[in-house]
Amino acid sequence: MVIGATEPEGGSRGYVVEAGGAETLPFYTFEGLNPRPVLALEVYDCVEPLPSFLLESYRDVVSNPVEWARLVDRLEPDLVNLNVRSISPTVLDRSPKDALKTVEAVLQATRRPLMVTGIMDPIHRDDTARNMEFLRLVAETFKGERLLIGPATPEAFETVAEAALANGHNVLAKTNMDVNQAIRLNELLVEKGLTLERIVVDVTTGALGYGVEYTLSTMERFRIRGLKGDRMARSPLIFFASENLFIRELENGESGMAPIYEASSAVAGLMAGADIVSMLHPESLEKVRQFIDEFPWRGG
Amino acid sequence: MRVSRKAKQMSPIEVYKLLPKTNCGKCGFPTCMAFAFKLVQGAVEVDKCPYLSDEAKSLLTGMTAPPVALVVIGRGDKAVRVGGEKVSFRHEDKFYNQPVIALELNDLMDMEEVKNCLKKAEEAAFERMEQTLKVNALALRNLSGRAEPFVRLVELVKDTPYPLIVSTENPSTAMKALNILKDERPLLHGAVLRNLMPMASLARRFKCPISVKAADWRTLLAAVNRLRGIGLHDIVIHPPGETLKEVIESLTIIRRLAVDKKFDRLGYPTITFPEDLKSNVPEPLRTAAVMTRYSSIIVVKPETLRFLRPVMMLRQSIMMDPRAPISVKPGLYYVGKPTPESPVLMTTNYALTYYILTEDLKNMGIDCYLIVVDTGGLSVACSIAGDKLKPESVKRVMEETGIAEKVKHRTLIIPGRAARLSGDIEDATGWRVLVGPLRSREIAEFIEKQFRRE
Ligand code: SF4
Repeated sequence: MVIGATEPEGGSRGYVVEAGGAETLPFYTFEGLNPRPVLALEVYDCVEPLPSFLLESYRDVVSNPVEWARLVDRLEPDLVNLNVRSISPTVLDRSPKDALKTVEAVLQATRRPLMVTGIMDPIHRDDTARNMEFLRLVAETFKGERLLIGPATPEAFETVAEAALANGHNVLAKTNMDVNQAIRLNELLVEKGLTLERIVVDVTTGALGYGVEYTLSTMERFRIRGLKGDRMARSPLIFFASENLFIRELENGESGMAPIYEASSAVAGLMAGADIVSMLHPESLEKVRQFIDEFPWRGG
Repeated sequence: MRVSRKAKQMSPIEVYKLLPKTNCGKCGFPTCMAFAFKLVQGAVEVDKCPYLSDEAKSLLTGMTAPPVALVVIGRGDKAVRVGGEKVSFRHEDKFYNQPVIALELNDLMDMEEVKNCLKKAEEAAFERMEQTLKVNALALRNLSGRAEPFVRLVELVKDTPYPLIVSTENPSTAMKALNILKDERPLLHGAVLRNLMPMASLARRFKCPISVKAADWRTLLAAVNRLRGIGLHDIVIHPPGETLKEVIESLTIIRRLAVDKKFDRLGYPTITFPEDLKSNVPEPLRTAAVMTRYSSIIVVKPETLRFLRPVMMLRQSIMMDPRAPISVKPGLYYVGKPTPESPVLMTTNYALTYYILTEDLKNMGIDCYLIVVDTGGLSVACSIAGDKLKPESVKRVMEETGIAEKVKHRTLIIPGRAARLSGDIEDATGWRVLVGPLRSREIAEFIEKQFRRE
């Protein structure tokens, strides 16, 4: 998968990033080398769900997505993940059209390849419809940028798939910790005309001590099936280490440990086959990069 | 009993030939043949037949033994089990024995420092979902190169509640330490090719497990062979490698060969010292990496202890049995001392959801009724997404438990994540539904503001 497009390619990114393409099990360096995993940092368009310790350390920055994107840009992640959840009626009830302005501003603030996600865990009954409207608008407005957009879910995937297909974007396919569901959603997306290199599989991440074992096992099963020849299990996998910042242990006075929770879980995700790891705490990225740096990757 | 480590898989007929063929039924199966079939599947224990010859018993135990041998370190209350694993991926079965986290102490530390470290180890322990997550052993290292300080260290910690790893490459120092520990079954660590036989005879004499280290595979296999040659089977492998990459490779190769190829010379638990590696990676990340790659014992330094909570939570997670998602029985639970005026809350029967919620409620001093609905052990979010939280099930549990007779009001508080179902639950139960907060720790405030107001 290729995320981002440079100017000659019709986009405005400074470079493109490739994800996926594993040919062997993760960290089986004695058998063969896989491509280097992609590290993403997250930017939220509203502070509503953020843990208080993050707000305390980064208040000035995180309350402004553009400032936040600039900070993230300086930390040099491979990919920026802009999460737009203000569109949920339970959050800010911002109109999807209005939210486009944030996407536009973030695209200006960083020239790194961009991932744009809507409401990742729909709670309100209108959330899914909001997601679809928003993602369609994003796909159309930023045609040519080769974004990664989502979530597409088994309940709502058609709009995203069509919009991504028509405008040259990639799709984040989210299912619920079940390998067969993940493969089924891939089939549905492929039927819509997307190719497997344009789908990133999100099996849903649980935090350490909060169901991460389901995530790890689902990813392992997915990757094993893909390597054994199941064509529909050949997409890159994404792991949201950022889930760990929302656990109660951190709220209860262990907040200094936040980057260690996030980075430790990132390691577990990588060992289970994650091709993209998405993180939220600015101090986690470097730790995980150090880890990746100590292993050999295909193409250096 | 000596177990034949010939891990050859036998057919039911071959197994049958080793049985008494009397069809006495003592094993719980009508015929010896039926028992043979079950043995081959690994569905029953060899011991169930009381009439086996020693030879048959040894052969059959070898056949059903896990590809990664089970080794016990310490004795009695202190004993920990390592290895005994059957698979490389937990979804194929489950992991049987949790990775042991061993705290490293050395004989250059003074008494104060050792005590301090032991205190830190105690403080690092915490309760989670009815388990205590903690350091499980002490690894004593002979950094001084001399016997007296090492012996002193052993004396100092021998009565702590931890099983011990005695780490020295000097056989005479090792002997002095083992003499103190007598039949405590510490793991003797420090055998390399150079001192192999003296160390091996100590392990035999003191009946303790022994770990062996080598810089390359050929030496390692030769060393394992020699240990087995003199009848030692409680072996722990210290895998080759000086970098994180090399150790991860070694650990992976050992497990895959042991499980997939039944290569029994590598079918042993492993011990790693991630903080001794040439690496710039933060220590907890190294620990997480070797933990996800099968290291049975992980030795950590005292300074790292306070960063290990996430790794211990990772350990608890991966040790969950994937075949039996832990769930609680659906029904009505009392939190505190609820009265007819107390609120009625609802949640799903995923064990984690239940534990967290009840813990929070207790901490906040809330008295209430808790209706736990059967969602096949799924969390609130998962059961909503998977359509497993049915308003009819809510209704059924409420009727079966007679909650209506216990309270004077008719208001049900559902989890924030179940907001989508509020109307349907209202219709099904006839109760008024209040959508609770997303996070359970906000419930106290919610009850105060929303529920009490009425
Ligand atoms: S107990 Fe032993 S002898 Fe008796 S039926 Fe079972 S296998 Fe046969």
